Amino acid sequence: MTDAEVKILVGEKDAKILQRIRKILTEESYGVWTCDDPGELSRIYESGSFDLLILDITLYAQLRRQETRIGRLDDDAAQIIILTDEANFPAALEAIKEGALDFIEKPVRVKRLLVSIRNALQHARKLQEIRKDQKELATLKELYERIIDGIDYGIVVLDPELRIESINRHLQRKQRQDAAHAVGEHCYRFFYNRGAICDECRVKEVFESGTAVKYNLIHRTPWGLQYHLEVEAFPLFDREGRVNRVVQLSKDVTERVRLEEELREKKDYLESLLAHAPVGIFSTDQHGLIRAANPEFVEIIGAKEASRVIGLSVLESEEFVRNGLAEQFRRVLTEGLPLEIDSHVCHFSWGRQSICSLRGAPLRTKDNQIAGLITTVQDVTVRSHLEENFRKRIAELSIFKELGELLQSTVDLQDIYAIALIGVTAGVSLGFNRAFILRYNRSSNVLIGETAIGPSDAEEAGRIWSKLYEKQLSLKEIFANYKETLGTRDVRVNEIVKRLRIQMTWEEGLLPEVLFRNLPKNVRNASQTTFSDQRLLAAELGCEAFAIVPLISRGKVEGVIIADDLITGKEITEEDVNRLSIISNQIGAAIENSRLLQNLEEKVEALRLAYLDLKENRDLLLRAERLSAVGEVAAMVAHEIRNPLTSIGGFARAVKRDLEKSHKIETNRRFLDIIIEEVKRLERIVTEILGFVRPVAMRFAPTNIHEVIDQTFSMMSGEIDESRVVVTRDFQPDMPPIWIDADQIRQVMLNLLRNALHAMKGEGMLSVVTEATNRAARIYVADTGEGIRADHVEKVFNAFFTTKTTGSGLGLTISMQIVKSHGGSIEVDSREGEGSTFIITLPLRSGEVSHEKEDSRRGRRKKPAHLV
Amino acid sequence: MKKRILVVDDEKNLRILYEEELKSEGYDVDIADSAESAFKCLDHKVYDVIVLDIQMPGMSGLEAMGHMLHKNRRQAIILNTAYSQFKDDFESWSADAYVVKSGDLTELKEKIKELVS
Repeated sequence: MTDAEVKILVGEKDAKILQRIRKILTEESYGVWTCDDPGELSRIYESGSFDLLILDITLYAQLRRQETRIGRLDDDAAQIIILTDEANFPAALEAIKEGALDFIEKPVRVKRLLVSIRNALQHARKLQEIRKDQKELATLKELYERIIDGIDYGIVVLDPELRIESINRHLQRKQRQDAAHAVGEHCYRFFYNRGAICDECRVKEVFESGTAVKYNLIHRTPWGLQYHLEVEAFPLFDREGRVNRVVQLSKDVTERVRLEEELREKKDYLESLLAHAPVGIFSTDQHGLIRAANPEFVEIIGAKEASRVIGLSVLESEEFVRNGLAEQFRRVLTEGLPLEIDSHVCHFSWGRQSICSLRGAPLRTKDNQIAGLITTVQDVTVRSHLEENFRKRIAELSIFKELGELLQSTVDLQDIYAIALIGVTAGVSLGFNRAFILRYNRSSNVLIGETAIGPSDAEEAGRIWSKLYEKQLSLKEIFANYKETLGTRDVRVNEIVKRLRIQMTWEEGLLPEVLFRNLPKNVRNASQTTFSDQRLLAAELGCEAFAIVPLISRGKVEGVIIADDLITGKEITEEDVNRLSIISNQIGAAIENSRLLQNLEEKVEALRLAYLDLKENRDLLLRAERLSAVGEVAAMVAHEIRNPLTSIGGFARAVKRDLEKSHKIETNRRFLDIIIEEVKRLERIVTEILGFVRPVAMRFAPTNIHEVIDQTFSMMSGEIDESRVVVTRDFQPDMPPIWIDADQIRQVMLNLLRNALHAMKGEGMLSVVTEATNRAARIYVADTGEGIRADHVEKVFNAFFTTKTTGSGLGLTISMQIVKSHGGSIEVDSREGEGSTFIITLPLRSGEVSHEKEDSRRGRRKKPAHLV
Repeated sequence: MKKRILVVDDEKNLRILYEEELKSEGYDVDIADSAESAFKCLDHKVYDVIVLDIQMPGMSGLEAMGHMLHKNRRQAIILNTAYSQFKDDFESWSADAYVVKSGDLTELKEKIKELVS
């Protein structure tokens, strides 16, 4: 501040003095305002900011009494210099007490005045500086307080007695109390409402050690809330270096702790998941270095400890390169391609070989950069083996099935053996090199070579097998091929097998084990044994290792199958032997089938012969029955005609005797002799019939049936004409000739027509209709007569059944016999009161058929007779 | 005195034949058409020979013969039948003769002659 900028207000009632001061100050270049009136003065003072007031004491006193701003010690107040005379000294001293800076005696001396002004201005400047500093401090204080109050920490200052000296607003809010209650209170009472220091409190420690501590504690409020606090307590020192206060900062970390716990749980969960996952899992960084691996992964690769694999490079480590995995992992890491490897054979240097399935994927950062990879590894060794086994079993089963089908296609024992040999040796099947079948002859107790299959040497084997391999032949095709080339191949093995003839003994040996105890054997080092039969076999087969299984059919030992791998020298496994046994069982069953079938065929033949015998007997029986029926009929006929014959003969003789006396004796006698002769002949016939009934010889000939029917009607014409019966005939056109005995069929027609006429009692309609089918001719004889009672229909064909007073009851019986002897049939369809229809069916070629029958039967009869 | 003959037969014509023929041979002939009527005749007369048919309605000739022989064990009986098979029948052995019916009555007449003489 220059002098010119200094504004000075001068108040003086004495105009001279006022003038003088004005002059002095103006000369000194101060800004000068003067005034002699107290009211005016106050107004001027208020209107501008003056640095200095120079006031007459009386004016000052007046202004003080009026309580203007002048003389008050406020910040912006101007410094005051009092002008006084001697009389007002005490008042001036009073003014100094009240804050005036100086007083000057009147008359005013220039030098004194200027010195005082300069002092006053200096003082004013200092004062101004102090005020400015104070203001800055206040601002700063407020800022800090705001910071402290606004901060998220609880801050409390404690004295050595643990009384609260100050507490920030944050804590007050937390505590729901205000500072008024807090200050001077023991912290444990204020915060916890306790009577003594808290156990977990470490503030005391800070007082004692003078070093800051940091710790966590759980703060439970009296109203039940729980906070996790992070506490930091640090000491404040006095000038002597003693701790006189401790500031305690506490931060509420409840939420953080909760999140941390959650995070830890999540982490634990994930870790446990990884640890217990049934698949191996590992991850790498972007360089392919393994960062994490779970126990299962370690287990799968056999590393025992995770530390062995952590840090390994999946791209460069020999473990992964050797197993052909490194390149796959590289693609995941560089191209981000997912990895999928199934049933990969892995062999890590720590453990055994295993079969694994791997699935991998890149790990990516938020901005989609590849940050590594994660891969799961599953040990599928067992499953793979099972699958492999399963596939093998299925293949085996299908072979056995094919073999079974092939075996079912034949019952020929040689074929069965051939199929067995093929089953044992075919590459698609068991794939033995050679196979032999030996049969056991029970009666002589000898095992005899039957047949064999197999190449003579490696050269032949190579030729045959490669051919078979190229063609991929099925068993069936091989079998067909085998049958074609039978005799031209497998020469040597068949030489061997034909030579084999082993007498079984009671000695211990290989063969008794196999044959009598049904034990399949896998023989190795065949010559190095005490069993003589085994040594013999080895020598004959020229082979040291072979499988031998019993061939059993229907519980009986049939022989053995021997198989070896002479050419390839492959070791025969127990499984091979098992399969050989299965084939052997199949063959056994096939042999059994073959035998059964053979038995069955024999039985069928025996049954067929028995049937023929029975049939013949039955034919004979029928014939006998028929003969006896004919006999009965004949007897009846004989009886019926004996009496009339007797009377005819008797009377004829009587007449003859009488006539001897009259004319024309000779002629009459001759006639009567004829009657007598004829009757005699009849009687003789009757006698013969009665004595020995012979079937009537049939005379078959192709016959027009319509002619036969017409002839019958002619014979009946008399009776028909006498009646009022209308006759209709409806004949099938082009009826072929029928092979019949015309006389007999005429007899039949006669019987039927006569019956019909009787049934109609002289009135009605009689129709005869014929028709032909492919195989038979039919004749319908229908009447409109009384019909047959339902209970009589069954009996009308029985001998001597009649409803007529004059009938013999034989007509229909005889008719039936005749039609049957023609191979035909006769039926009746009748309704009482409406009429009857008789239907005769005759085969169109009955004669020929019957001849054929006769021939074929004889032919069959003869064959067995020759065999016997 | 004429020998007396009873002819038993169900056939009317045969009865006439036998009656005429035997009468002409000089016998006294009675006829019966059944066993029952024959027994009636036997109640009134004694016959030297009875010619008996076997096959008859009602009582058969064999059965009738049994009754007749029961009454008179010495009764001469000729079985006269159309059938020859009864010849072997045990019962027919009790008959004095077994003649198969024939228009030629020579055999019958001879048998009768034998029996009455």
